[in-house]
Amino acid sequence: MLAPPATRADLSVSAPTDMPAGKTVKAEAFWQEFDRVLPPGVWVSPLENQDYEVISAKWMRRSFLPALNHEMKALWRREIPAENAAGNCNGFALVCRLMLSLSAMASHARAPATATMIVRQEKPFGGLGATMEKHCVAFVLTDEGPWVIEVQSGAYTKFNDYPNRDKIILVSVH
Amino acid sequence: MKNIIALLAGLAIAGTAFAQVDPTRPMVTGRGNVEVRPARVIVTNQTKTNPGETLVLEKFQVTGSLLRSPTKTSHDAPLTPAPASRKPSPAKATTTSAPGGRVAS
Repeated sequence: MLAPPATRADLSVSAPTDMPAGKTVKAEAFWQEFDRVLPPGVWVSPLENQDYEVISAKWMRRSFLPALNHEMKALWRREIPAENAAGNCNGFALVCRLMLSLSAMASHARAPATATMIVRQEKPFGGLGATMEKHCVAFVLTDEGPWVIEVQSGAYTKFNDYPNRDKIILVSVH
Repeated sequence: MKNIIALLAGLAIAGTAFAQVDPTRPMVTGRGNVEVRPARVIVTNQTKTNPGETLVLEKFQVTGSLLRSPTKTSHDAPLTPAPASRKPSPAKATTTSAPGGRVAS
């Protein structure tokens, strides 16, 4: 009989399981939200679900964002390389999407109305300065309207207050 | 509550009004669906190229990761942002206990 490994150092991701479900938006309407708030000429990926879950803003503040912060700090402690590696801004934005998806699965909800966005970081936001480079943030359609989240700090703002909203290049939903 | 109702009603109306957009195909804001040839790479910074000219796919450069030590790069900020619209303080958020349900590992 094989003995279990002496030590394991797996990476894990946890997500809150108390996501309120029931407020949904059709894919067509979700696209229209992008078309309404984003500048013209932004690529939006296909939306492969018929309906998407509109996320409770109250739940985001009380449950999800603290959990996101918890996970980000746990990853931070692992000293994951950031330069040209999976632990870059895109990787962490995907972790945010994954956590929202896990929460939605646990609540038997529709696919969460969230996306990752490639943006040119020309103005500071969420703790990251104006790098003038491409950056990746999360988009979440809440019941208070669309939000942008700097996933690595948990900072968020309403889309209309996002300082780089006119520098968005690409939106990935699926 | 009014905001919630207004938002959902607005989204429902918008969905009805723009039903001609096929959301399962690529879209560009301001234009709706766009034609994409099969197997063609979508390049976000695409510019017009001459026939036969090789299209170079721009690499997404990593920008400052907030998970790195602020001492390593000059443009990175520490993990204590406080945007004006953020209601819960970072300190409060970080002291929140771990999420209740471990749903993946």
